Amino acid sequence: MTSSAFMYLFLAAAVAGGVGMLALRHPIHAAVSLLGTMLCLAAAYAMLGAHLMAVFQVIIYAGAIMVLVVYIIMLLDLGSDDARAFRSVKVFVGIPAATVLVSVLARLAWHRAAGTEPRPGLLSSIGDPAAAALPEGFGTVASIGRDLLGRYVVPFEVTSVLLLAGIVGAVYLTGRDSAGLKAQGNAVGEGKGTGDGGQAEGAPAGGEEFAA
Amino acid sequence: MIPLAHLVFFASVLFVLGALAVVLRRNVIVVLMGIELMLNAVNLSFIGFSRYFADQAGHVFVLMVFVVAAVEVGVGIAIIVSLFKLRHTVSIDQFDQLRN
Repeated sequence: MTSSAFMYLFLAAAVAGGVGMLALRHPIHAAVSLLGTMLCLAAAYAMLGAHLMAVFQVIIYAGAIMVLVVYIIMLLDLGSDDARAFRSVKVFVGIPAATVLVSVLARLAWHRAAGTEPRPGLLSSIGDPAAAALPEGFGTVASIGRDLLGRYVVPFEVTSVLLLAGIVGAVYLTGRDSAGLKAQGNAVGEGKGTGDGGQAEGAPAGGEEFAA
Repeated sequence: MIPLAHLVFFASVLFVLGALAVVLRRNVIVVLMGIELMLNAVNLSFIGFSRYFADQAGHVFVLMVFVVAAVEVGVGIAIIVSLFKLRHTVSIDQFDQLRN
């Protein structure tokens, strides 16, 4: 079947992107690799009938979160100071532990999906639950919106509180002066302190430049 | 349509890759990206189970995970910027202020 071939293709590409994120030295390469993973996952979501989630994956993850990460990498001007990442002793502990973890998880998931008890070494008897027939309008904006503001309205409101807490936390963390900046920042003074007003004052500043 | 077990397998592989990035990489920003990858793996299994049981609850909770991820990146990057202002590095080995 073509569609399941594409499904495997996109999932394999997502895993390849994850490996790239893990292995590439420079943070910007890792970020672009992760971006590829997220776009492939969006394609997988669309093939699983979750069209709205696919759009959100592209807009929120690829469009907002990864742009923020890339922007921070650019802003901090990070070189590849990660050069000794894999020479650590922890590699020799981490890779076997991760291998065990993934095999146990995959094995449990496999038997859970098949509805069988885990037995040693037999993968031939794996069954598979047949995918249920999709109801009309599954995964559309209308039906998800109805769920979100009906059955799941309390979690939905709780996420708005979470967003508010996140905004307050981010503003608090970046707004205050650290000790190092405070020493040298007095000379710069007002310009640093009113960072929020900077955009609004852009026009008068441009006017001054013209006047000068 | 591929079997559900294969979807869960790919999701667990992605999760472990994210966990490995958190454990192995020394760059704080890559660590943050590893956490994002773990959240994405969970989202994939949410969507897969949601498809197989024809239940939209998974979609709603994927939406919640999106919000959590966005907040986490916002606060995480604020912390990274603050730490960078303090120490002028993003290497995780340098952040040991709480050790003594």
